[in-house]
Amino acid sequence: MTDKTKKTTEKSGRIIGIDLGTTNSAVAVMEGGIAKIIPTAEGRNTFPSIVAFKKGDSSVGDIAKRQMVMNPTTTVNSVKRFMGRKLSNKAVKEAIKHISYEVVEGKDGMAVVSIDGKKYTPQEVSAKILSKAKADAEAYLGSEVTRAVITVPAYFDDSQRQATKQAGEIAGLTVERIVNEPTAAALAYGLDKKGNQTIAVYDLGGGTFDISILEIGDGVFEVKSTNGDTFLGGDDFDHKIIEWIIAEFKKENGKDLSKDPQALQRVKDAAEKAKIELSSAQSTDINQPFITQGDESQPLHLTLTLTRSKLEELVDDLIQKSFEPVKKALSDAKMKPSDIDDIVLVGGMTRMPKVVSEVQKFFGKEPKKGVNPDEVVALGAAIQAGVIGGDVSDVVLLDVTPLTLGLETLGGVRTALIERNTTIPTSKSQVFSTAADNQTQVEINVLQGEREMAADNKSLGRFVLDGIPPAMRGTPQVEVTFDIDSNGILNVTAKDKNTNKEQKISIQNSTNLSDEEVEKMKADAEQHADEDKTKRELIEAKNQARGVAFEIEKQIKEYGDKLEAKDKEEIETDVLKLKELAEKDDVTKEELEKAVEATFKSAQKIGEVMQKAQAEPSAPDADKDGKSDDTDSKSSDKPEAEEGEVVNE
Amino acid sequence: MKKQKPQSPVDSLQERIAELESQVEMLTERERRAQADYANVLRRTKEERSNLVKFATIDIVTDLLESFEHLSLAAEQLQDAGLTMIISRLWQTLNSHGVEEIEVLGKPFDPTTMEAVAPADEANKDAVVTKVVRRGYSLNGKVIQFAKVST
Repeated sequence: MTDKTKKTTEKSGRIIGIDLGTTNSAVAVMEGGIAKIIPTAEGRNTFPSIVAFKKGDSSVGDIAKRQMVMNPTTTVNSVKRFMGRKLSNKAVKEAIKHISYEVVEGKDGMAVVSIDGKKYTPQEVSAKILSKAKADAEAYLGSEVTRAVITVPAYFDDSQRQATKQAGEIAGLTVERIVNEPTAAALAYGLDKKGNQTIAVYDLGGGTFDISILEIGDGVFEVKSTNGDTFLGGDDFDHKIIEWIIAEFKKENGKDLSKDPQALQRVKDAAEKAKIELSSAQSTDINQPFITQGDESQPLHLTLTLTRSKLEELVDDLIQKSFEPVKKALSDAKMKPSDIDDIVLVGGMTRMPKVVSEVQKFFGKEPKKGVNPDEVVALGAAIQAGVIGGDVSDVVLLDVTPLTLGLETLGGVRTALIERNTTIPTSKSQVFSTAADNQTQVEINVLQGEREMAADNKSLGRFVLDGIPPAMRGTPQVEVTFDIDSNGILNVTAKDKNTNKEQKISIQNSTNLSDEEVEKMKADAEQHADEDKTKRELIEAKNQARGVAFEIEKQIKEYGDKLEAKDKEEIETDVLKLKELAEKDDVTKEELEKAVEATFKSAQKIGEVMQKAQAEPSAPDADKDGKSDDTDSKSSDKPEAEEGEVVNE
Repeated sequence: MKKQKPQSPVDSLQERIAELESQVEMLTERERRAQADYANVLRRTKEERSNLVKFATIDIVTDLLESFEHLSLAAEQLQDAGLTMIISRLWQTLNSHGVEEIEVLGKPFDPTTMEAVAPADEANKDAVVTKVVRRGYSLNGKVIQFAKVST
C-alpha cells in the first residue's frame, strides 16, 4: 500500500456525529444523504451518559444506569459538568452536591473523579461514553469508525472544548470538529439555508436547561448569548408527579407510600407513564390496585386521575423558572422576543404541550417542530460531519422528482408512471394498448403534475409512435418507458412490442423546477381538489343536457306532426338553446340545470300529445322525463384521446 | 493554485491526469459507499423484519403483564383459591407465547436483566439479590421488563 492510498483509506472513513450530553447521549450518521440516528446495542436511540466502574472494568449506558443506585460511589453520571474545569470552580462545587461519587483535585487543580482511590479525569470517563458511541456505530455501519464531530454547549470555554476533544482522542476518534449544540439543532432543521436569521434554541433536557441566541448569516453561525439553569430538567418534573401521588394517597388512606419500596417503585413507574401519556391525552388514570395494605391488612388501591391541567399546575413553577434565563439571554444579546425569527426546541421535556405553548407565548411565534427533540442535536452533528466528509454534497446528486410524471390515456386521464418524491436515477415501464380498432398510431403526451385529468397537468412534450399494424383494440402492446438519469433528464420511449419499432423523446430538466414552482403545483393539486370536482360535475351536467336535447328531438320527430305549430316551434327553440348552451365553455352547472328544466316545461306539450296517442292502441311508449341512460359519459368537450388503455402493469 | 511560470503541454496534461485520477478516486469512493449503504439497508431490513415478527406481540404482552402483576398482588393479599387458578391459567397463556419470568432471587446482581432500586448491602459481599420489588420478564429471550431488585 502506498502512502497515498493509505492516507485515502484513513481519510475516507465515515464521520459520525455525537451528542455527548450531560444526561443522555446519541449518535447519528449521514446515510444516503439523510441524517440517521444510530440505535444503541440495546436497540434505543439514545443512551444514558453514565459509566459504571467495577474492579477495573467499566460499563456504559443503560447497563450502568440500572446498577447506579446499588453502587453510587463507583457509578459516574453527569461527568460533563466537570469537563475541563478546576475543582475550585463555583459550578463544580455546586455540581458536587448533586452526585454521589467522589470528585477530587487532580493535576493543575482540575476536577477529577475518584473511584476506589483511583483517579479518572472527566476526559477519560467521557471517553468511555464515546467508545460506546463508536462501537455502536461500527456495529451499525459494519465498518471501522475513526472520525467524529462532537457537540458541546455553546457556553463551553476553550478548556472545556479541549477536554472534549481529548476525550474523543482517548476513545480512538479523530475529532474533526467541536460544534455547539444549538448550532447542531439549527442545522438539523436546515436553518442555515434560510438566509440571515436570528434563532433561539430552548433546550430543556433531563437535568439541565440551556437557552442560546444564534445569528446565522451566509451559513455562518454566531452565538450572540447563552444562559441557562444547570439544575433544571425532566427529573424535576417527574419528582413533582411522584410527590403529588404520594400526597394524594396519604390524604385518602393515611399511608405513606414512600416508606414501602415496592409501592414506591410502582408509583415512580406510574408517574413516568402518566407524564408521557399526558403529552397526548388530556387526562390519564393512575391505577395501581393492591399497592399496599392498610393497618388491618386490608388491601389498599391507588386510583387517581391526573389531568393535563393539574400536571401543568404542578410543574408551572418549573416551566416559569426557565424563562428567567431566557430573558437574560435576550437582554445580553440586546434583543426583544419579537427579534427572534425561529425557535428550535431541544430535549425530551420540550415534548410537553405546556412547555411548547409557554415558549410560543413568550416569543409570539410557533417553535419549529418535526425533529425528535432528543435526537435533534446528534442529527445536526451528523449533518456537520457529512459536510466535512463530503457526504452532504451527495444530497444534490440524490435528487428526487418533485412531481409525478405520467402520460395521457383514454378519456383525458393522467396515468402516473413515476410517483413524486422518487429518488433518481430511476426508470419505470408499463405496457399500454390501443383504444380503437385498427388504430395505427398512439400519441404519447408526457405529463408532470399531481392532478387527475391530463389537461390540468403540465405537458412536457409529446410524440407519436406510428406504424402499428392494424388490429383489434387492446391487442397491440406498446411499452412506454420513463427513465430519469442522475442529471434529471427524462427519456421517454414508446416501443411497439410486435414490430420493435420505437420512438423517443428526451426532456431536459424534468426535475429542475424551482421550489416555488413545485410548491405551487402541489398546492394547486390540493386547492383544485374541489375545483376538479366542480369541473367533473359540469361535464356531467353538459352530458345530461345533450342527452335531454337528443331525447326531446327524437320525440319531436315522432310526435311533431301532432303538435300545434306554435308549440312545436317553442320546443324546438328551447332544445336548440339547450344544445348551444351545452357546447359553451363558460356555462355553469346551474345555468344548464335551469335550461334543462325550461326545456322540460315546454316539452310538456309533447307529453299531452303522447297521452292522447296512448289512448290509441299502437302508440309507442315514451320516456317522460327525457333522461337517457345511454348517454356516453366519456364524451366531453375534449376530443377523444387516441391513446390506449392499460392492459398490463 | 497560482501558476508561477508558463507550463509545458506535458505539465498541463499531467495536471489534467492528476485531476481526473482524483476525480475517479472520489467517484469510486462514492460508489463504494452507496453500495455499502445499500448492503447495510438490506441487512438491517432483514433483521428488522425478523424482529418485527418475533416481537409483534410486545405491546400487548407488556400491557397484559401489568394486569397479571395486579392480579398476583391481589392473590397475595386475598389468598383466594379461585383467583390463584385464574392467575395460573393466565400465566400459562403468556408463557406459551414466549413470556418468561427472569429468575433473580438468590442470584448475583446482573445489570443486563436487573435494575437496582437500593444501595448495596455492605454485608452482602457477593451482591446476591435478596428482594424483588418488581418482577422481570423476557419475551422470546429479550428482556421486556427488567427485574427491579435490591441486594
